[in-house]
Amino acid sequence: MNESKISVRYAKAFFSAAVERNLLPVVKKDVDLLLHLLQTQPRLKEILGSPVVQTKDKRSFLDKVFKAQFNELTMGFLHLLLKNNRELFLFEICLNFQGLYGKLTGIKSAQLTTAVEMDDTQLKLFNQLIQVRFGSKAEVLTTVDESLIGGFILKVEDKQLDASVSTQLKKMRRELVSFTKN
Amino acid sequence: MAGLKPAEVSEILKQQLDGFKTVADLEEVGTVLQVGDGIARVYGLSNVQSNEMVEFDSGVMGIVLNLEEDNVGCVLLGPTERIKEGDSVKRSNKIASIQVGEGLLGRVINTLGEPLDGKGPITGLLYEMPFERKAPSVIYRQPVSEPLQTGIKAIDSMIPIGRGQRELIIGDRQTGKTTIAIDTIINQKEYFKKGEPVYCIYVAIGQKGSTVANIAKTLQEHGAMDYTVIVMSTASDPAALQFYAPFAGAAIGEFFRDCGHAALIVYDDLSKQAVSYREVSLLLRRPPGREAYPGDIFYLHSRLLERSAKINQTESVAKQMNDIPESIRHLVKGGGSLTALPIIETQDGDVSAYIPTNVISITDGQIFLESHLFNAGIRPAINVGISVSRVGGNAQIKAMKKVAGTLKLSQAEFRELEAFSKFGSDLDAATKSVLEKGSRNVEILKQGSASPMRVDEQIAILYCGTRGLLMDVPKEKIKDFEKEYLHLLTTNYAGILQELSKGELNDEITQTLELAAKKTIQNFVF
Repeated sequence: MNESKISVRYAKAFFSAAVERNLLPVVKKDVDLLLHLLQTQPRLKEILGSPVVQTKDKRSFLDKVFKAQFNELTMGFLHLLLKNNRELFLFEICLNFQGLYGKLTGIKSAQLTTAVEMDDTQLKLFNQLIQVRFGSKAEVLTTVDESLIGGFILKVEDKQLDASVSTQLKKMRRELVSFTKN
Repeated sequence: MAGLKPAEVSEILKQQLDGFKTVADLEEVGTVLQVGDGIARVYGLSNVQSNEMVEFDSGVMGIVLNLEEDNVGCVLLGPTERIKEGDSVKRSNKIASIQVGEGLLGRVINTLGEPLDGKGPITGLLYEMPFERKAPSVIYRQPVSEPLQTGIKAIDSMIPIGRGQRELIIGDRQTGKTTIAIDTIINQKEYFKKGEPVYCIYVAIGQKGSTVANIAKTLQEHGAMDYTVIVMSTASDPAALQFYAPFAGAAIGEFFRDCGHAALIVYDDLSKQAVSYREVSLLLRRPPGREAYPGDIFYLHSRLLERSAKINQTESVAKQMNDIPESIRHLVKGGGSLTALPIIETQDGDVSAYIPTNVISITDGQIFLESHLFNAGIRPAINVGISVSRVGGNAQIKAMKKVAGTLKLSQAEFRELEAFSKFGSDLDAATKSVLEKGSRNVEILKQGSASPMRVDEQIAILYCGTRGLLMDVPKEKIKDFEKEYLHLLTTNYAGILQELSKGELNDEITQTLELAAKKTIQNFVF
């Protein structure tokens, strides 16, 4: 069974339902939050993927956490996944959803990682950079990661501009090591 | 390193740093969704090509094999433990390939072309050759016409191999398959010395490290490493490295072939390669077929073996060959060849299993080794009846063809009569003479390992056997006779041997051979 089809199909269905009901902006926000949580909270993925936790427990857990802030459609979709035992694919579905959103609206999702907090003028500059280098608008999600030391990593869909000091140091190290080996 | 002064080191380092780019390039990246068992599934990388190399955060490389709707499946060429879920994966924009050059000769390398023998980096000019490359199409080929001398009497006389041929060596474990291949490599020393080298590539797939070390030592001892490359992926290497090893070897062979040289490649063995390909395929969730091998296991072997070829002599034609890598375009010459000796290990003599039948049908003949012959002391343990060479006959030199033309049939007849004669003791004179002659020929065809024989000597001794000159020599004395007879020829009749090696066989030569045989026989008849 080709599993990659599963996530693509669920994402398509979810996306077209959101478009039909004119709920796209709201649902997009929900999906963004879900993705963020799945990436930063490994426990959430663990609970969803665990075969030991019963479906009804997963359901009540999701209700408790998300019902207050999520749209009805999103909640309905989560319930559908649970009913069909496909909750394991939630992460991939969210990624696909983002891709579909980018295609429809022309607004891609971008991730900007920097060593220090960016202010508004700097963010504006980044938006211009995206416009120039990637030729499209993007919603920028910023994160701060001190391990970069300096510079930034800008990721727009599957293209990445890595101008961080840590990567350059890594590169330099590799070149010197391979040079001394030879 | 020891000879360098500190100042020099920092000077070199500074040079390196001066050339260092600080400008960031736009890269295409993906995220690892899932990793385990030497496989990673990656989200993103939407423009990646099949067979492209990708690089993970930790520096481990991978090769993209599956392109699916929303993810790609990669095989890892390094340890799985160094890759985590969520790691980023970069495209390298490079199809999986190996750096090839004459500097590889005498070296032991892994599938990626990294040296394993501790003799430092590979030196000399290196050219990039892709693992997967289309075989030369029909117009760039030429029929097999030159012999590839194995130095083994039984093979060169009855199952001759030509340059550009693919001859399968098949048999159970411990029947001397590898020995035949190694002896063939050792025999090419003669041509290396003459300045018409046959470059050899020995590909060890899924073998024990100690076995390969032994082989390297044997080759070294016989001076065969000067023209040989060993590509090695041991049993503990990732499955991807194991199933790509023959392709790396083929890429090296193609370099020599396309530069107009003769090359010989040994795949030892393809059954293990099939097993590692099955492992990768199943982990990538490709549908299993017979014996759980994937559907394209036949294509895996056929496209590999199809790359062995004799290239057209005409240089202008050869230069237009399909799919020549850019890196060696200026070096291409006509008339090169790549001969393949794939090895298949059977279980309990079962040649009708899936992989053996596949490879038998792909190759231009097979050398079949049997354990009961091996145990009976007939070494090389070749079963003459079912071993064939479909194209090699055209490549045999004339003298050998004349002398040994009937040998295969008469030995088959002998085997039949031998089985029959076990039932009764009353045999007529004709049958008896066939049996006597046959059993003497069996003795002649026996040969120790790592002792290849020149083709002229082979013809000289086989002439005695096929003409029935040895009927008076006791069977157990045949080996001694052979030694003395060849000694006599090399000391007194060196000119005759030279003529033989050119393929000449006239009345004068046969008379001399018979005379020498008669002289020698006197020492053995009582």
